[in-house]
Amino acid sequence: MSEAVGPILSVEHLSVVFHTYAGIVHAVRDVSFSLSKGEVMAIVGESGSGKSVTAQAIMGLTPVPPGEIRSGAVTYGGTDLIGATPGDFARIRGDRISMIFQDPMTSLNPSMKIGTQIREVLHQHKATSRAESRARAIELLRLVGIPEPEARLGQYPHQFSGGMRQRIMIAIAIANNPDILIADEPTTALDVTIQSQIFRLIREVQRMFGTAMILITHDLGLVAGAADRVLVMYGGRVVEEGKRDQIYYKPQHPYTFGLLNAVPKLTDARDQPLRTIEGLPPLLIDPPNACAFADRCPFVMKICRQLDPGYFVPVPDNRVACWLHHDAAARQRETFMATKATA
Amino acid sequence: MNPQVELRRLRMHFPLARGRTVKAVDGVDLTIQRGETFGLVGESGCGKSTLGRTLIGIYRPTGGEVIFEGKNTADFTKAETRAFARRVQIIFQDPYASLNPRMVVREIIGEGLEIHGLGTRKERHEKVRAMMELVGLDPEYQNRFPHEFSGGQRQRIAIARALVVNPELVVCDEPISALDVSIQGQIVNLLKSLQERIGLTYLFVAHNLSMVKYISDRVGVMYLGRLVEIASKDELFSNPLHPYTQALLSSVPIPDPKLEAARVEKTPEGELPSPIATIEGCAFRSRCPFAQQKCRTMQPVLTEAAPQHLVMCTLHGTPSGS
Repeated sequence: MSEAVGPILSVEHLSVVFHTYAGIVHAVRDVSFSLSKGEVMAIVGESGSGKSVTAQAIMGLTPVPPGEIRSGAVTYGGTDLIGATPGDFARIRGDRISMIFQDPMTSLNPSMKIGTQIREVLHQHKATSRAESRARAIELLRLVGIPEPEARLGQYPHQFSGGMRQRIMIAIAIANNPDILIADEPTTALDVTIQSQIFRLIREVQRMFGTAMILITHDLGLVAGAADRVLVMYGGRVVEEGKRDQIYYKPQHPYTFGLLNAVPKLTDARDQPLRTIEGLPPLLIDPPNACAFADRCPFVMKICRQLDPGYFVPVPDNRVACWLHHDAAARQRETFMATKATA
Repeated sequence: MNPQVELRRLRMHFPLARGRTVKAVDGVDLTIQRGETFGLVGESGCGKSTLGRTLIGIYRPTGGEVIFEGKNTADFTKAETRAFARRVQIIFQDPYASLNPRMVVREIIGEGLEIHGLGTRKERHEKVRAMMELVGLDPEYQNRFPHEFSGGQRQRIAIARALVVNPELVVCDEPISALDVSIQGQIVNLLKSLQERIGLTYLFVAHNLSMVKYISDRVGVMYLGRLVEIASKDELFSNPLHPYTQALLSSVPIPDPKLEAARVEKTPEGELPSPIATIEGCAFRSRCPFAQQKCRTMQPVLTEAAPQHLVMCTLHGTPSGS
C-alpha cells in the first residue's frame, strides 16, 4: 500500500509475561510487525494467542502487576512507547492512537452522560470551548448514525442498546481523527445484523479519515472483507504474516490452514464431518523454545519439538514460523501441499 | 412421521412491574420429529433460549401446550413429570457457569443417575466412566474439579452429564458459542456422532448460522418471540422467503475474500423492537424493506409457501386477519 511512506507504527521483539500463582505466563513472545499509513492489518488467533495482550502493550494498558513487558520496542512517530511515561501516553492515547473495545457496556462510564464522555476526550487533547465541543459531539454522534444527537447527549449509557453503545464508542475513538485505530473484537458482543451495521460504520470512518487500523478478531469473515494484511498468532507468537489473499488462498502454516478449514462456510453444501484441529492450545507457562503448534500439527516432524523454526519466506510478502519450509523438509512439505490441494 | 415433541401456540410471557410483560415466546407452533436435529436461530432477545427452556419444563408456559410423545406435559402425573425430567436434558452455553465448581467431575456426571435412582452404586460408577470415555475425556480425571479443565473439555463434561441418564431429547442452548473456533468443530462433531450412536433428538439453539446449517436437518428462524420461517436447512439457506431470514443470512461475513467481496448485504436498518412493546401486525415491519400497509394491520400466520416450507409473512400466502 505505502512502502514509500514507511511504517507509522512498529513493534519489535515484544515480549509480555504475566506473573500468576501457577507460574509465569508468557503471553506474548517475541512479536514483531509494522503498520503503514491507512493500512488495515488484522490479527487473528484464538483466545490466549496473545492478540489482545499485544494491543494492550501498544496502548500502554498492560496491567502491571501482574503483567510485565519483558522486552521489545513499540515505536510510534519516532517515540518508543514502551519507555513512555503515563503523561506521554495520556497525550497519545485517544488522540493519535485510539481503541474500540469489545464490550461497550464495560468500556463506557455508566455514571456519566455520553455527551460528557465524548467531550472529555476532546477537551483532553485540545483547548476547546464548551460550545465547540458540544457542537463536535453532536457532529460525531450524527456521523456514527445516532438519531436525534442533541437530545441523546444528556443520556446515560444504559439508555442505549448494545449496538448504539458501540456507535458511541466509535464516536469517542474517532473524535480526534487518530492516525491509528485499534479495534479489539469490535463486534463480537453484537448480533449478526447489528454487527454488520457497526462493522460497515467502522470501515466507513476508517476510509473517510485514512486511519490505519489494527483489527483484532477471531472472525475470519470480517478479516476477509476488510484486511490488507493478516497476522496469525498462536501460543503468543506470530506464526504467519502475509497479504490477505495469500493467507486465505495459499496459507503456508499448518495452523493457518487448519483455522481456515475449521470454519464451516454458509456456502458449503457438503455434509462431511467438520474438519477440526485436534488437541488443545498450549499452556504458556514455560513454553518450550520450539514450535508451539507441534502437538496439534498433522505434519509434525522431529525437529519441530526441538528447535524454534524462526521465520521462512516461502512466498513473497510473507513470513512463516514453520519447519516445513526448510530445504530438508521437502517431502513432508509436499504432503502438506497435497493436503491443501484436496481441501 | 413420528413426532417427539409438539408445541401448540406456546406462549411464555414474563411479568414485569406495572402490568407490563416481556413476550419472550409468543404463540409458537412447532413439531420436532424423533431423531431429528432442529436448529433454532435468531438474534439475542428473540426468545430462542426461552423456547428451549419452556419446552423442557424449566419454565411453566403461560399459554399453549407442550405435547411430548403424544401427551400434554400439563397433564403429566407426578411420576411422568419425574420421568420427563430424565427424558429431556439441556446443555448450556457457558461451561464456566453451568458446572458446580465445588463438585468433582464424577459427582457432576453421576448426579442425574442418583437423583433418578438409576443403577446400583457400582453400576453408576461404571456408567460415569463409560460416559467420560464416550465424550472423549480420560476417566482418570474423574476426581478433578471443573476449573482444572479447558472450555472445550468442560463442555464435554456438560454433554456427559446430559446424556448419562439416557435422554430422548436434548436442548443444546448455544453449546459452542463460548468456545474457540478450533474447539467448536470438535464439540459439534461429538454431538453429531453421539446422535448417530444413541439416536437422540436435538433442539440446537444458536446464532452461528454456519454451525446450525451444518448440524441441523430443519431450521427455524425466530424474531421477537415468533417463529417466522421453518424449512429444511437446504431449502432455508438456498431459498429464504421471509425478509428477516434473507437479511440475517446476507449479514454473515464469508471467510473467503472473493466471495466476501461479492456478498450482497441486505442488513435491515434499525434494531430489534423491545419485546415489551405490543406490536400490531407483523413484528418485523418496522425494519422490513417490503413493508406495506397491510403488514400494519394483519398478523401474518405461519403458512406453507412451498412444500414443507413455512413462512409467516404477508408476501407469502394469505394471512388470516386474526
